[in-house]
Amino acid sequence: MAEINKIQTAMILDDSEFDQVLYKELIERSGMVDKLIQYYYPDEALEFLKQPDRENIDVLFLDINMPRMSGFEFLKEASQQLGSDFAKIIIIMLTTSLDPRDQEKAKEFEMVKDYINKPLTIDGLRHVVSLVHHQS
Amino acid sequence: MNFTLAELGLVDASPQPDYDNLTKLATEILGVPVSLVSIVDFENDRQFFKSQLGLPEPWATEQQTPLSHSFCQHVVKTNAPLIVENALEHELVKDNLAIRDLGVVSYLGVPIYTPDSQPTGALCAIDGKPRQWTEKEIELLKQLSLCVTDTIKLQASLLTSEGLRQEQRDFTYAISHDLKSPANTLHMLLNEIGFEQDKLSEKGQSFLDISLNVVNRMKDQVEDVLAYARTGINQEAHVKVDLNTILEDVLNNLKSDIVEKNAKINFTDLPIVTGCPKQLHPLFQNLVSNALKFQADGNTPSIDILASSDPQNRYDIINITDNGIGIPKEFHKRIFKLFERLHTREDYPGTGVGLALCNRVISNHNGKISLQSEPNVGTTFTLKFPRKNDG
Repeated sequence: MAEINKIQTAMILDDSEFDQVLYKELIERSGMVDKLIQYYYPDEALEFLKQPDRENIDVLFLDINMPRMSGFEFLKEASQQLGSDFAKIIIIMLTTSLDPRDQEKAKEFEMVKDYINKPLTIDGLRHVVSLVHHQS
Repeated sequence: MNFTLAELGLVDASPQPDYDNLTKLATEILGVPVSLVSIVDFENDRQFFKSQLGLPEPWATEQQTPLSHSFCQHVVKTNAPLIVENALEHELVKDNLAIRDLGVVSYLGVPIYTPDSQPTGALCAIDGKPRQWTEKEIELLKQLSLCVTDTIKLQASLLTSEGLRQEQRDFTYAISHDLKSPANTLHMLLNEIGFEQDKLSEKGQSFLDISLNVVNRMKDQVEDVLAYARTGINQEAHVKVDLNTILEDVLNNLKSDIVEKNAKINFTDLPIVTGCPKQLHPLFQNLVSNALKFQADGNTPSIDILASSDPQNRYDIINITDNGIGIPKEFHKRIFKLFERLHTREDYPGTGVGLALCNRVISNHNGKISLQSEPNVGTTFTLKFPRKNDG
């Protein structure tokens, strides 16, 4: 991570295909992220993360309301199944949930470093990039 | 929340079995001819009998007396039991007109309370002859008075929850409307942009398509949430409903989908159940449309809708079986929760409201909904409607 205003790999887990199209658009336009990995289903994302030879992920943008498994259930499952490998990833909750209980819940997970309300904006992305550099 | 005595049904209201059972119990346990739940209404100079057992007329019918005839007012004023062995010799009440007009000679009264713990009246036992009240009897009447207070509290809780439910319903309607109208405006705006489509790049056009899609989805979501809120309160009278008619309507609504997918629908004669047609319709509509929707690509839907009964004839049972993608067992509870989905909207469209609504409808009908399913083979949803004994 030589460049201070860039990150290498970001992952987005969100069940809305349309939102994902727009994230990709925004992220590509920003030039701040080298590689973007997109998943729509939490269980599929979990399978991907379990691969021993997968690439390093700097930051994971995580939705809360998703099919089959909520974002929080995903965090629990991933922590249990992947342990320290997962704990290294910086998690950013990216959600439409207005429920203050969700924000409280997010604080219970140490790897969750921020909670952003949708939509993701260029300023939001810039903030996350600097957060990643600050953490590392 | 605070309620007035009238709102709690404690004054100017008919007797209720909840209270009458307790005065009856008091007369039997204490062996007295008369027992009252008396609400003392100082403002109107009266006591109102929410429950009375053994009072002479006209008091029994009038359900009230002026305070000149009230021993119970002293229980409220002192917030303590009043124990009178012989009223004729008791300083506090010897001139009370209840002695002359209601025939009160011995009296035992203990306070009852409003939900905010203010003494509001008394549960009392009365006899027409002098009597010594034992410690045990006083204790027993106190115990019974706790039940009276609990009944009042319960009434207040019911009123509170009813109020909140009403408020929530109004809120849902208001917010749904306020969300739907900008969605409609957006829809029109996007249509206008559509007329300028030739000026857009390919990407711009695809974003326009997505926008229209999203705004339609939003309208669906608002409508489904409204439908869910509407079934929330089971207030409409239940009538005899021929489920054949309901199914006929539903199949008619889904006709284009059925024809397009070349679906095979089998059904037997369905029973007549007691229920609310406006709720039973979406119940069947959701289950049949799910059976049509959750199919593997290229599979021809085949749906059976079969009626049966349990061995004891206590339920009308309807099984809706499809040959769809099935539901893994670990999700069988989850699918009935509001907004839960097992797929992205792109894979299978929907709002996550349907089965939650079905669950609500069935519970409003005191029935049961359950399912059996095998992935890639199909799913059977089972509906059980309790049969009414009177036929």
